[in-house]
Amino acid sequence: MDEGEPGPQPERDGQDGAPAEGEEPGPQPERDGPDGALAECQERLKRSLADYANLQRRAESEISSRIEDGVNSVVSDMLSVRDDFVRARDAYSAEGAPTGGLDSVLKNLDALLEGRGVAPIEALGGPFDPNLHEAVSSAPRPDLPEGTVVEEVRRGYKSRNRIIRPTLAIISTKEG
Amino acid sequence: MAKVIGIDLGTSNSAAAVMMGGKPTIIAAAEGASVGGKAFPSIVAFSKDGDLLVGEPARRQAVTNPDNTIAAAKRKMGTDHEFSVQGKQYKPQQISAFILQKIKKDAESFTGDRVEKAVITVPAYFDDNQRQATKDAGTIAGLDVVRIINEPTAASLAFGLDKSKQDMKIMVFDFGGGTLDVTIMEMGGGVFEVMSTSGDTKLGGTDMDQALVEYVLDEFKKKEGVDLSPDSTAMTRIREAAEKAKIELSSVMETDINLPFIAHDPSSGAKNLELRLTRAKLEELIGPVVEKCRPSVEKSLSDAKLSAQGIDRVVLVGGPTRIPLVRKFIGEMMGREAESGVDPMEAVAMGAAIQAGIIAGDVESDIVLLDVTPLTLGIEVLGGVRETLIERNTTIPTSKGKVFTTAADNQTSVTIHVVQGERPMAADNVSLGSFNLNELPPAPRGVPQIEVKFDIDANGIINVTATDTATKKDAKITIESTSKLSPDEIEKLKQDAEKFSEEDRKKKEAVETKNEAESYIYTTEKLLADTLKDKVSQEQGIKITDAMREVRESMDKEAPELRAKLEALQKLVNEVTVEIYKNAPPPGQDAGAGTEGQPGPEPGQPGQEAGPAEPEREEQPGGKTN
Repeated sequence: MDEGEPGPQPERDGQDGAPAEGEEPGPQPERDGPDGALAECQERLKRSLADYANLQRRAESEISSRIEDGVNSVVSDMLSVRDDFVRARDAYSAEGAPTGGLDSVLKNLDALLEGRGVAPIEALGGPFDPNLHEAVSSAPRPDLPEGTVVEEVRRGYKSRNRIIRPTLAIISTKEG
Repeated sequence: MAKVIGIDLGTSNSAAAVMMGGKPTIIAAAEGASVGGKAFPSIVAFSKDGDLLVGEPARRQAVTNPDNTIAAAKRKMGTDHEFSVQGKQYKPQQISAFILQKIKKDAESFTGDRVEKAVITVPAYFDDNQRQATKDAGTIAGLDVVRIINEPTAASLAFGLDKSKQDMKIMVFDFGGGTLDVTIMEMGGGVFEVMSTSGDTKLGGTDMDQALVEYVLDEFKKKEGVDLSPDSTAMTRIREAAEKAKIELSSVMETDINLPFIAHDPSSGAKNLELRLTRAKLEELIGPVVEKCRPSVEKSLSDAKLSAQGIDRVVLVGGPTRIPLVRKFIGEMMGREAESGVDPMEAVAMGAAIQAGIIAGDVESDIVLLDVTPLTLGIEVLGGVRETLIERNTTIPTSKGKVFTTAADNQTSVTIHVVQGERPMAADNVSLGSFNLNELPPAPRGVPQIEVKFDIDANGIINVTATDTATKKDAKITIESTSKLSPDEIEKLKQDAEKFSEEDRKKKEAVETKNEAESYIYTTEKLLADTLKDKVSQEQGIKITDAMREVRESMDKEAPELRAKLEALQKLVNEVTVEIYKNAPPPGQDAGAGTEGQPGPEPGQPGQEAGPAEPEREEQPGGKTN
């Protein structure tokens, strides 16, 4: 079957068609009748197959991009709940309460995300990149190069091809 | 044939659409969907290193780089304002061109085709300077702007109002994030004529969000005694939750805002924000904002000399019009339901795409959209009065002339001052330029006959000629105003813009190659650990591991270098997998979905495309272990 490859089709057409036509694919206005009609049909077929191949390609990429959008949207909501778990752990830990159970929940959650190709964006200490991070404010840090991420207000995540949510970051400045 | 795209070049957000399979389809931005749909912020910025940022990335760095970030450049279109960034001056056209350039690139990757022509929308009240500036922005971005159309006209097309055979009067209520535009149009005889425009440049959806955030803060303070407003992390969470709740309440009657651990009190420990919000409460909070729309609607009606009953159709545009209260407000004011069926945030871009389709011959329409002069054109005469030459809504191309005379005895020169606008005094309108007709023979006032002729060509370019009928002496102007750019200037700016485009292309290539390499290593590692675990010889395993290491080491190198390493790895992996499948039992026995993935790469292009697709598909069954 044609695997959606427009390339080889014209050749096959050339073989099927009358040999004389293979030589002269250009306009043949004076030649009407059965041969002319055949050439026109072949031309149309060629175009239709090429159109079909394009459609197939587009449909495939559309489907995978929609699936990814759908998954990312669910993951994004899930990440908000993960944030709450982290807050809970931090709050309990500050009160001196045991947090082993919550650590375990977070570990499972992170393994699940990783299995789906979702990874945290490593931002802390690196240069600010607006393609991955969103600056929420700045802080004076003369000891660091300007534009270094000094605090992650909210951790960012990416899937293989998309940013699910950018890191919300505080950025260093030279002067206060 | 290359596609013609439709562009909604907005003040806060921009979007684009293209006809695909006979339907207008929104063009997805390259960086993926952002909050609030497929539009992206109309923001342009330059990083500290001088890199150009457009859209979402520009917005994300705005707080810490405000001096080098430009938002709402549209408000300055057609003026001589210049933005000063890092010691370089930029005209509003250039800033808009950067946005258009991004749209062009996104459209090309979306359609897989060249994009060289576009229809761009502008507000109905834009004058000729502003329209010309928008066209120039398109040219700078490398787009041939085949038509400028009014935003409300585009919205009407998106709702299919042009398909109705009868003449009608349409109100378009465009309520955006920060502005309200109300336009009344008359459709008939192939033309959409603007009857009146009105609005408020400081009213929009953000006012509603603000009201809701303040309510949440107040409630928390009442209950817990803590003011969260100085806490930027808490405020970020509240803003997001309020936005989400507002959207949810358009379809449900009540929702909960739950923000655990929003604050910490040393004495009582963690505090949680829990609030039930009903639609009735939301409506009570945003009611005052919605009510502020009333004067604009009333003014548009009175300017058009119509009552609400005189309006045949109502079209809603902009995100906040999804809110039931807004629809109810308009419904009650106008005594009729608004049109529905098209996303109000996408309607303008979709309508622009339909118009683009009509021009490209992809769409059949009974209506032939004609360009019209948006505002009245005239010249200044004695006493500073504006004398009309061409009425607004005149279809173009057109040509009109009138005879004038001198105001004083022995006057040897006259000044022709061309103005555009609806006000009776010339000074209250927009000046498009002026010129002198000199060397008139001395004569008593009122004797000389000077014919002033306005010619507007199909592109909207205005030529004004003044001729002394006695001597046939004439003078001309092709209107020059501060905002208009000469062809040389446009060419220069175009080259500047292309420079950024080339840099962007290189950067994009580097990022894409890196992503591809990361993704390929990820899937190869999985493949080696799961599916191919016992099927790869030690020698092959070492070779692949070495090749992966080389790819990793080249991650931050130039794209071509990384690509070469990646391809070497892909070749190795492909050799191994092909061999394994050759030796594998026939399908249906134990290979499972693995064989299903196989036909893909065979007829596909060799190298990069087939490579990553194959292990990725393999990875699915393996990934089900948890």
